[in-house]
Amino acid sequence: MSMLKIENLHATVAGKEILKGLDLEVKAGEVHAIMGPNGSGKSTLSYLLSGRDGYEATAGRVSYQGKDLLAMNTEERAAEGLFLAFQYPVAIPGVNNMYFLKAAVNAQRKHRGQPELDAVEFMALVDEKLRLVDLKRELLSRAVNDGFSGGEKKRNEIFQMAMLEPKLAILDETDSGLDIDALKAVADGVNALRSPERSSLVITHYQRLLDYIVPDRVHVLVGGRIVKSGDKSLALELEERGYGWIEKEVGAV
Amino acid sequence: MTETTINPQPTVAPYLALFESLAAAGEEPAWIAARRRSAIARLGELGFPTSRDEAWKYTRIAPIVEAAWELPEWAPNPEQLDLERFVAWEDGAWRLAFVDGVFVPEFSRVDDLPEGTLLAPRSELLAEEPQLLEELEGRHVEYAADGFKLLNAAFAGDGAFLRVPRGQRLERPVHLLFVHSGQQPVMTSPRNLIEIEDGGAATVVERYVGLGAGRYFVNSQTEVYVGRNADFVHDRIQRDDDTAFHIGNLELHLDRDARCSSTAISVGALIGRHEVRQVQGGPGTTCRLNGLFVVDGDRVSDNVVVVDHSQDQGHSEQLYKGILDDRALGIFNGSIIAEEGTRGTEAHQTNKNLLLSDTAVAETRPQLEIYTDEIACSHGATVGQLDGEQLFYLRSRGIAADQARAMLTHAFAADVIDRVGSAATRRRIEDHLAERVAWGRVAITEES
Repeated sequence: MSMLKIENLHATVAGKEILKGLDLEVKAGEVHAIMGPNGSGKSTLSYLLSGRDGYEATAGRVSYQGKDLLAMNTEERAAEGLFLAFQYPVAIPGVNNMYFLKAAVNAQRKHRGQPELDAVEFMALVDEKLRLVDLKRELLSRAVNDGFSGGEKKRNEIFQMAMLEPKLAILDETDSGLDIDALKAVADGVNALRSPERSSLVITHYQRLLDYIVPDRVHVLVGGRIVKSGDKSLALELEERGYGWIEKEVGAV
Repeated sequence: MTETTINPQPTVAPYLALFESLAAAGEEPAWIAARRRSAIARLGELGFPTSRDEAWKYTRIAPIVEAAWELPEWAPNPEQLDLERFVAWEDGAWRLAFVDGVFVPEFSRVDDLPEGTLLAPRSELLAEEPQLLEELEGRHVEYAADGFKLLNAAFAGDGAFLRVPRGQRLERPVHLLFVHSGQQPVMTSPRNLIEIEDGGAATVVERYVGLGAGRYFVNSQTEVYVGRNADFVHDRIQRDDDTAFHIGNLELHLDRDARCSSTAISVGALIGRHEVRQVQGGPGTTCRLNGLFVVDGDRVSDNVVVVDHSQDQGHSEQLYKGILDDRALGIFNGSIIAEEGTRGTEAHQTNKNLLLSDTAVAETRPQLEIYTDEIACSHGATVGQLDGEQLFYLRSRGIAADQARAMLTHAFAADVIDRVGSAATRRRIEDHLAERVAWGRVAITEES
């Protein structure tokens, strides 16, 4: 079954076309990696899929679990099970992490017609998910990402993902700036959530993360289009040879 | 009285006439009558502030002073005003309650006060111990150049008198509740006097509330003396009707080593203004002045802070935040004065404003008058909108746009609300603001 199907997607940011006819299909249970040089449109794709203002699809369609993803607003997409792990998670001073998470979990449950969790049920869920993700508990009682180290922010992203149990997780360069311990911790968290109903789109500049999160498919994004796809060996080849040869091959800049 | 009527500002004339009716009505000690006459005479000469006065540059007072106000003569039957909702959450506090300027003993609570503490309405003190009031009232108020302070002095009405004796620390807060029914177009002039003697401590919650959509004018004056090494915690909540006018003055006189934290939450009134002045009566004082003002519609909130460091080792901190929606105007005018020859002064000031619409306006004016080198001083001011990146982050987790805005608006105000001294009051403010602002009801056109 198709989790995400993108057809001929064109998108602009501030009037500039960034995605130029992107096609991609991710089936349920699959992990796909999208690799590409800087400026190829990787982050634009992740923001567009999560509905950020200012990112506008000008042509094409995106079908998510059979629904028109582009017709939904950001919070609806989230409640329908789409999760974006941010490359640079923003700090939100004054908003308590636990309070924020409870609001998010219950907003999504409400959207799905499930009863909201009370404080006791919510804490039980927190305890359960903390066993999956290596995150210091004390960070939960602080303001969201406020004063967190780079690694703590990324772990917090993965913890949120564990709490929200998305159907499709988009990891936007989650590996950037992480030391190897943090990278492993993040990968462990992602792997723990792998299941036949759940898919992931792992966007990365480097192959390193894919040693730990082994993808079913690897795609190369250049100049706003997927120009090459293959299995995990493609990632190794990119690591060795860089992106130049593909850019030449497709004649894109 | 003829000297007061020589060519007065036209807006002052009705108040001079109103004063004659007051003077004709009451039997009062001669000293009070003399003080009133002196204040009205000075008002007649000075007039009300105009936009040419720096301290009143942005606030139009014509709608206030040109309205025809009456003096409060009666209080509506408190039974019919459902006052219980204002006090149910207070958590065992002592309380003096006033409705339309008139003391309401049924809603006051002064039983089991510790020995030596005196908490009574000013009217009772005038009747029973006028010499105490004569001695203490007005010692610390700087009237000379302010028409509204003079107006209060001329028409000074009922209010609270609190004296905490040396070394006594009140364990429960004292609430001063000023309710306006909106049933009569009154000008009330609450006059409060608080004396914390050396080493004493008290938490006072001064509250102004309206019942709906009344037109009235509150012109209050609160005068506080904090004795040596004494503690004063003060919450001031102004949520008068959005159709009413509110001008409030707070004078804080801190004696040697006194500590004070005063937090003003101002959410009501069509035109609201609160001025706090901190004056040092000795070295080593610590004073935190916090403020949160929330205005929408076409309303105005004017916030003035004057911190005068005239003695050594004066420490002060101002933290004021404004949340402004629709076409509202928020003003912060904060002064730090460090007088010549003083040493060890540490004075900080922060003002942040959050605009929730494209048409709201924040004016922020830090004013530093520093005449000494022996000072650590900082100030900063910002005017901004909700952060588009933070909004997107919250929404990307499934939180609806309105709720996300509410969370961020609340987060903006959180550090000021945290400084509210009385816990029950703090919770109450949280609830009230959640309802009132619906925090995120507000239309933000675009994330940026």
